[in-house]
Amino acid sequence: METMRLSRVITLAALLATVPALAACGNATTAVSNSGNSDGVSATSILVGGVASLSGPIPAQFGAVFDGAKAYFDMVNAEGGVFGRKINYAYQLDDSSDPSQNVAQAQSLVSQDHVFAVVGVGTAVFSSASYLVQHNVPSFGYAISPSWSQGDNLFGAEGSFVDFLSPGPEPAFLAQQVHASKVALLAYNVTESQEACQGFSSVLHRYGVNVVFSDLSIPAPAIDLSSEVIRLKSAGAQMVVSCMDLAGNVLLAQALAQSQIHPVQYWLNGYDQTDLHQYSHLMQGVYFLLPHTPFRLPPGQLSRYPGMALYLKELAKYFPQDTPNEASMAGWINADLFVTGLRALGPHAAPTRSALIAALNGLVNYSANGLVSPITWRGEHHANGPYDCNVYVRVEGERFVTVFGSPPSVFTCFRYPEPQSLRHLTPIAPPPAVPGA
Amino acid sequence: MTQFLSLTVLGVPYGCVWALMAIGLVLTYETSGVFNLAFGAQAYAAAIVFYKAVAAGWPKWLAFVAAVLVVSPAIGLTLDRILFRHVRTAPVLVKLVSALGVLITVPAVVQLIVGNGQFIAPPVLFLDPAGTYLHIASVPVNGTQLSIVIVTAAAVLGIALLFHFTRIGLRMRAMAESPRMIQLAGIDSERVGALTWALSSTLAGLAGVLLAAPLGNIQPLDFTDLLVGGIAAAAAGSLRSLPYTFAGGIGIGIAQQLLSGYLPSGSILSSGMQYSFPFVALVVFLLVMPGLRRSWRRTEDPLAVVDPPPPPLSTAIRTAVLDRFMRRGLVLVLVAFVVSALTWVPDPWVVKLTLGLAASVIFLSITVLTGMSGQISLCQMAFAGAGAFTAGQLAVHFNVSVLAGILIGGAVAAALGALIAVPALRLGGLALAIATLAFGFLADNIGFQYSWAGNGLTGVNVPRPQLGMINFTSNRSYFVLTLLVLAAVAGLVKLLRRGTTGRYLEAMRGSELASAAIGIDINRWKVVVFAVSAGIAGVGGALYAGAEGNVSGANFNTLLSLIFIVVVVTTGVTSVEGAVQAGLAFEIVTKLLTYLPAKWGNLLQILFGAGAITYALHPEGIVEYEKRHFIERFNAVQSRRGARSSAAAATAAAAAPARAARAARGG
Repeated sequence: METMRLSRVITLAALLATVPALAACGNATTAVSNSGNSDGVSATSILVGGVASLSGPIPAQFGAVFDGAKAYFDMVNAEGGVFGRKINYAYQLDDSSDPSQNVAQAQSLVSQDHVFAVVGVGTAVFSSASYLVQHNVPSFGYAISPSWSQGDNLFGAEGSFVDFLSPGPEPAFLAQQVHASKVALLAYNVTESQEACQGFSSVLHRYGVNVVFSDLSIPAPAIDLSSEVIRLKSAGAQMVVSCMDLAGNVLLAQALAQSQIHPVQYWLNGYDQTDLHQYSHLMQGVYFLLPHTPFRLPPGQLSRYPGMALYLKELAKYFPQDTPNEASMAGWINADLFVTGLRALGPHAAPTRSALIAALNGLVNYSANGLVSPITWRGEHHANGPYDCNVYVRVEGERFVTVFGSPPSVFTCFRYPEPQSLRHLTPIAPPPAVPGA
Repeated sequence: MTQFLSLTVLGVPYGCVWALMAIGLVLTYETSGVFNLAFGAQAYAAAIVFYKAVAAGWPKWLAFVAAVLVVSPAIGLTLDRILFRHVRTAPVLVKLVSALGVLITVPAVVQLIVGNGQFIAPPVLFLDPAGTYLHIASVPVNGTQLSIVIVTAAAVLGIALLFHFTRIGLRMRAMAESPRMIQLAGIDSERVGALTWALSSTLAGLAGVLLAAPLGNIQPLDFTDLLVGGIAAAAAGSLRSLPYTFAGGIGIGIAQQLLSGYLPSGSILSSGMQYSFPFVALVVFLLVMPGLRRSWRRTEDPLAVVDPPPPPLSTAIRTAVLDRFMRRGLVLVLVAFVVSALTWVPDPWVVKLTLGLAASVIFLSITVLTGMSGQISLCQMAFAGAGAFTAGQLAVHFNVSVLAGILIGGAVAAALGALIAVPALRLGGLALAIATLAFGFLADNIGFQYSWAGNGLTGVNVPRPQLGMINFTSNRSYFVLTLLVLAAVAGLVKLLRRGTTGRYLEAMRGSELASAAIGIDINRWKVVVFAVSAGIAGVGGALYAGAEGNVSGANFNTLLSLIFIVVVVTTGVTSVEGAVQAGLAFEIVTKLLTYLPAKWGNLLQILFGAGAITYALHPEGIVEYEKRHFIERFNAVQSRRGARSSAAAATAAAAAPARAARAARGG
């Protein structure tokens, strides 16, 4: 008995002694690899795949990324492909809104399925970014997190540089326009959501707008927000900024209506005609800021935005059941940029990943033919361009109506660096490359 | 003051729903002895049916009839018929696992039918949700709140009338006292039991439909989480008193809102309170109300000890031939497995196999706790998460090697386990299971949300380790590392079982009283085994994290704890081999299911939930049962063949001995 106990003590001591020894060893790091540079390319086709959140806690409508990209590829393939090579959009994987699953699916696309490029990434948890950068895979997606600026091979539909912590002056401009001096902020305890609202908080603060209440750690998916609403009501908020998803926003609007208070609402998510149809009674007067051309333009204006006309036409042709939305348009732009890059390589050599990435980074003022504020990729992976253009819309009835703007363009633009006081905050005339200008 | 009153008004409807849930829970617990943890899942099903029916344009009253008065009782009757009727006299573990199986299966089946969509802004039963109907000291009461209070009041009144003034109510009360007694009186107790389940399920449906409106978002996990509110209310009434249950429910509802309204704004604690206060209340009730613990042990059948002993393990009845064959086969399979994983198996599959090995380590923690000591913990994944996040955070912030992180993570998890074991000692059986369930949800909603722990949904990056010249970055080398750790842990568990600890635990599982009488310090060994089990889970979690690369609370949530315990007990909780098979099978099946369309993503839960249901019939585990069955048949064939060949030899010699041989064959 005694010996047994003694041996046990010795075992334990030996085990504990290994701890500092192990602590002296490091953790592994990895370097960029250029293997598989021409994976997935044959004489007649180019193999691509995408990954999006089709299920899980924050699925939103990310799955529509695939539809947008597929509609574009179908259109291109119907015209004979790119220099005789059809785009084979063979894999559309689900990451279940799970960071580890996101990495696993990207690995499976690259190392198992040997795709040439990842086109159509729609997820709130883009944790595979570093893997895709390491393997230098051209990747195109709906950029809604700062992970997109990790490398020059990642291309977001509306630009890759997402700096939540220091956004442009747009929220302050909105507060100025609606005469709100006290603002409340609500976000999920998800990094992207939190950082977006933290960024707004610092912008509002910089322009002297008071943030009277903020709760940036709401568990996702949200339930009942009544107690938050009671608190923002007693703080006297005149405008509420929500960095949550549509479900959270609807709950917020519901709680506001039930508490009978009506502050101006500014939502980051929910610009979607289907959602508006379903929740129009809760969405009246809500403002949105779009980094792209709106789906519904003022009468007679569509011809000024040829990219939008084409997207609406082809989506209706290949996915007649889909209503145009931001995710599907992002997928469309992703596919457009990918094909634009392939075309820039010319008909003679078989495309390689590094050549494609270099060609894309040489593009100047890319706007997907009038869908987004122009992007010059070299330099804009990791920093803002010289100016920032967006579109403000407001819900009226069952429509998103464009507000502010600098006619004839629907975009409202601010120059960087922006003025420092709310009084001097005025939009500039949109530069010529901006859609509609 | 207005804020205080507003929050109080907000809490009352929730309290009403907790009270309804509590009544439904107590009803079935008293009559069948099953603490129906699947209650939340039944509520969820009804809420979805109501939502879908209203969305399809049905009038609300018709949708209500369909969801609450047709579908809900039908679910209750079905569960009674196929499952709960058969476990009335079974041990606590069997009842619990059956209920967990239902808890896991029902929402998965519902999602399979209605899809993975979001169900937000569910309709209110009646009244206008945004309309104001009355003021309580200047605080407006809206239609959602008022409708819940009215419906609850009507339902409680209805139940009171049913129990006190109808014949069936009287029989239900009698059944709660003693099912045998009413059988003696010539009443069909099965029928009364079935009606009780139908009534309880109707209450679940009603609670679900009511709760959906203020929650605003119908998610299966929320309903399971919020069930704890109902359990806490039931505890407040000592599982008996209706008025206390009601008061407890409303008290918890109000306290929850006040806390979430007055804790520092924007803190995880304040947002987490919405979910977590009932857990805290429940644990406090469990600890301070000794009568409650007694009533939670009461339904264990005193005659259970005279049950025949469980059948021998399949390994024990193998003949020498089969044994040799199986042993060699096992070695061959093992070698083939490792060689394959290191050579031709594609990378994503290597990752999955590694995850399977890591899951096996976590499963071994269940083998130790449940298989060896007979205790039940429903929060093993919380311990695994503690190990994983410790390793990850140490690596990210202090550049500590993950190899050391795995051990430190295990130690942290073990410490956490010991910390929980101390109050849990006073519980045991069902109460222990519920307390650990509460802890698991607490970890999900608060613990894992902090940036220094699980870092919310974003999670923690866990790098692969390096040991001197050996780099474990590649998937194959990390596979080898995981295999080695698994072998070490499996060896440790075998040693534990063979050593003093194992003998003590076995004695305690037999009879705690008798063990104490021969001088075993029961409390001490309970803490030890809880801590060891938590430590093993922590090591497994850290390994798992290294294989995944990035882990968040979602990788270690309580639903997984429940699924895992169901997986292990159905595949065989007693053996190390069972745990390893379960771990690998779990990850391989998960991976295979990803090849199905997204709609079938929940098939896993349905499969394992169904596995739990078989557990009611085969408490040794379905896999173990099938193995033993196979070996018995094999042995029978063997002996018959042996007898036949000897019979043939005998015929050649003489007729008389042949008759003897036939007799020996059992003819």
